[in-house]
Amino acid sequence: MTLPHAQPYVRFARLTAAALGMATLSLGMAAAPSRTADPATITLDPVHSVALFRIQHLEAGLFWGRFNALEGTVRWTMEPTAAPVFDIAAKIANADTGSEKLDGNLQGPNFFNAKEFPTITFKSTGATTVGDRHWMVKGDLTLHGVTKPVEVDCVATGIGTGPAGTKVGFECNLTLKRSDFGMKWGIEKPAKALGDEVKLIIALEGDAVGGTTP
Amino acid sequence: MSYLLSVVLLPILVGSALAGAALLGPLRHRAVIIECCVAYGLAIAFLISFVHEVDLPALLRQLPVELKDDDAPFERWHQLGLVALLLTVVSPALALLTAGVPRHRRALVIAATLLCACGVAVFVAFPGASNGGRALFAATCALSSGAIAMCGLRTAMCALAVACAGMAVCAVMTGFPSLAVMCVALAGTAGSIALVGCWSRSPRMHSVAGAISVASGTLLGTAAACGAAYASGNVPSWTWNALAVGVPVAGALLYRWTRVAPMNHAKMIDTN
Repeated sequence: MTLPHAQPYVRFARLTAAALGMATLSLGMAAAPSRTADPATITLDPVHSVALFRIQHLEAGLFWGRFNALEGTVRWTMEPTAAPVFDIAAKIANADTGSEKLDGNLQGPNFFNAKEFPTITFKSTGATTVGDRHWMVKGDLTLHGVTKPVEVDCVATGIGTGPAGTKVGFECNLTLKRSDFGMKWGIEKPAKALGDEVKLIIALEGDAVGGTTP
Repeated sequence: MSYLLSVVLLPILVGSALAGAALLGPLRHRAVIIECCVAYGLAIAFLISFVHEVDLPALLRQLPVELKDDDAPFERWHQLGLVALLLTVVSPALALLTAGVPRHRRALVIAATLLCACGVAVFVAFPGASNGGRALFAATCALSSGAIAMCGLRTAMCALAVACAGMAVCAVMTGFPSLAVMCVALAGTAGSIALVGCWSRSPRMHSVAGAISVASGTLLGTAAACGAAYASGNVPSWTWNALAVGVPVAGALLYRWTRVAPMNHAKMIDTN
């Protein structure tokens, strides 16, 4: 019960309290962090991650080989437009051409020189979104002891469920000149034994750990 | 075809022309000229082969020279070219030095052999070089040089040619064609010097101890160490050292035996 002469004060107090409450609420909303997805860390599954390479032999056939058991991680929020961040490596010792002799030649000093440069690495530095789950990823490729910026066409091929949790797949395409990385044997000397241009198709699959969806 | 011409035939032509000019030319009675030219011919043949097989920047990258727009990597096996380049300087210098002090020739040759063997083993580091590996490298160079020093020119060059040909086969088997062609070039040069030696009546035919033995042994030892360092499973790494030391030792034994046997035979005739 309020006294009649006190009613304007009470109304004023109620209005003030309501205004303060709304102000507090709006401030609180403004101060709260906006919810963005944390990227999951996708650890590559070496069994299902390979890099295929293609090179022309004696100006004739296109010869294919592969680097088995790629290693590394991909950090991705799994949003269709958010670009993944790649940090992957291939061991030269895992070169596989289907011929033991050729594998040995590839690992030798005339080609990859595995004794001195045992790995090929790629670390992404940025990306441009091309479409849904499709990016042009920029990064540094280290091959044969030379690091150069390259642009890789990457597609997230799918997100599935495996026995260990979420599986994520990517496919990346890249064409490079091996002479840019100091691998010149066979391009001109001996005459055009092997081409300069190498096409790479990199298939990645890994288990996603952590991260939140928005 | 032009590849083989530049990487194999041109080095052989240059190396054997130099040695041939000394062995057959008007200065064939000057031991120091023969020693200079044969040793220099071997080293320059290997160097020319290296430069044509790899490229000049690969050699210059190891020297205090600034190269423009060069982002190719330094690879340790390119030190083969550096060793050959150093031998083109060291071997004529050694020949002139030993000719200048004939009384101390033997001591100088031994010192130069050991110095070159230890020098390359210390400064040339192929992948996986441990202290034991370096010691083996030095020992291979020294033993190879020592064995060649005990041969005559033709035997020494034949031994060098056979050892290099063996290494070329090993290099092909281990997927190292660049080393194979350099070894073929050196084998061809040594073989052609041996052939030229058959026509020569030089008084220096019976001793190669000095610049020739140092250049040959150091090149053989370095090529062997390089091959062994990059060898894959096809060829055991000891094969390289066995070729570099075994063939010259066999050559030296054969040379001694072929020289001693006729002398013994003559003695037997005398006593009878």
